[in-house]
Amino acid sequence: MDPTRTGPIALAETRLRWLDARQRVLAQNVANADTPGFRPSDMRPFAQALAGAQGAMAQTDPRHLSPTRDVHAQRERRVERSMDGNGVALDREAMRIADTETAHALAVGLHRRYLGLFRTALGRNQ
Amino acid sequence: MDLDRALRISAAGMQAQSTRLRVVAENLANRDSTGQSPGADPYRRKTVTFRNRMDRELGTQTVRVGRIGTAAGDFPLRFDPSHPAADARGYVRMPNVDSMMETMDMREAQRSYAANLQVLEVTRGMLTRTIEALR
Repeated sequence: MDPTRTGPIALAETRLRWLDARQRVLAQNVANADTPGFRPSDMRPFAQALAGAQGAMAQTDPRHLSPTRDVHAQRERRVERSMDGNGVALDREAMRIADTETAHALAVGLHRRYLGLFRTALGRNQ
Repeated sequence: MDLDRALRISAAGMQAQSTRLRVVAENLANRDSTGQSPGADPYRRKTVTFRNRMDRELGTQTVRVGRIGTAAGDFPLRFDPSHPAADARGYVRMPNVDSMMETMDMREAQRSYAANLQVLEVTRGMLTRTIEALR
């Protein structure tokens, strides 16, 4: 049995990948907080991303082109816009970033603890 | 890697905001730069624009400074007949820089810079935590 393919570890890894991507999307939003006409994006909810994972384009070869825009990220529709058409609210972004950070700490913690169980089973106490 | 890209996006945002701050400094420094001879134009206020552009090296979109242009608008007049740039009626054309507006712009740049820095720090924390998981 490969412990990294099943159960909590695989889930934690998927979660971490999603959180990494989200952090990138949020960084983009904040960096463009003063760009006229910019509309912020956010990731689809994690549950949706997990359920629809097979719908994304798979890269089976390293020479395949990667999609330039993240397929899981989506533009936000209903946002308040300022005079120059920009829809970024820094307070909202700050909240999301804090959220992402906490979830990231949780996922990394889970990953470590679960691997720790295997380590204990192997008799390498650390 | 996405976290690495997030770091670079934040860095690009900070770079764009510092360019903006440089333009503000330029405007404020030239608040009193009039022409040298009668009828010569004084300093014209500079403006900076931002654009969301595709960065081919990163494979993602980052913010860049678009074009540094000049602001339209009339030059305010000041009565000073002894000035070398004074016209026949004794009026000197002053630059169209409004220090209030520049201060607001400066504050906004400062705020955006701080926001980008905050994102950078959070991303760095996440990266460090991920690396620590390898131990």
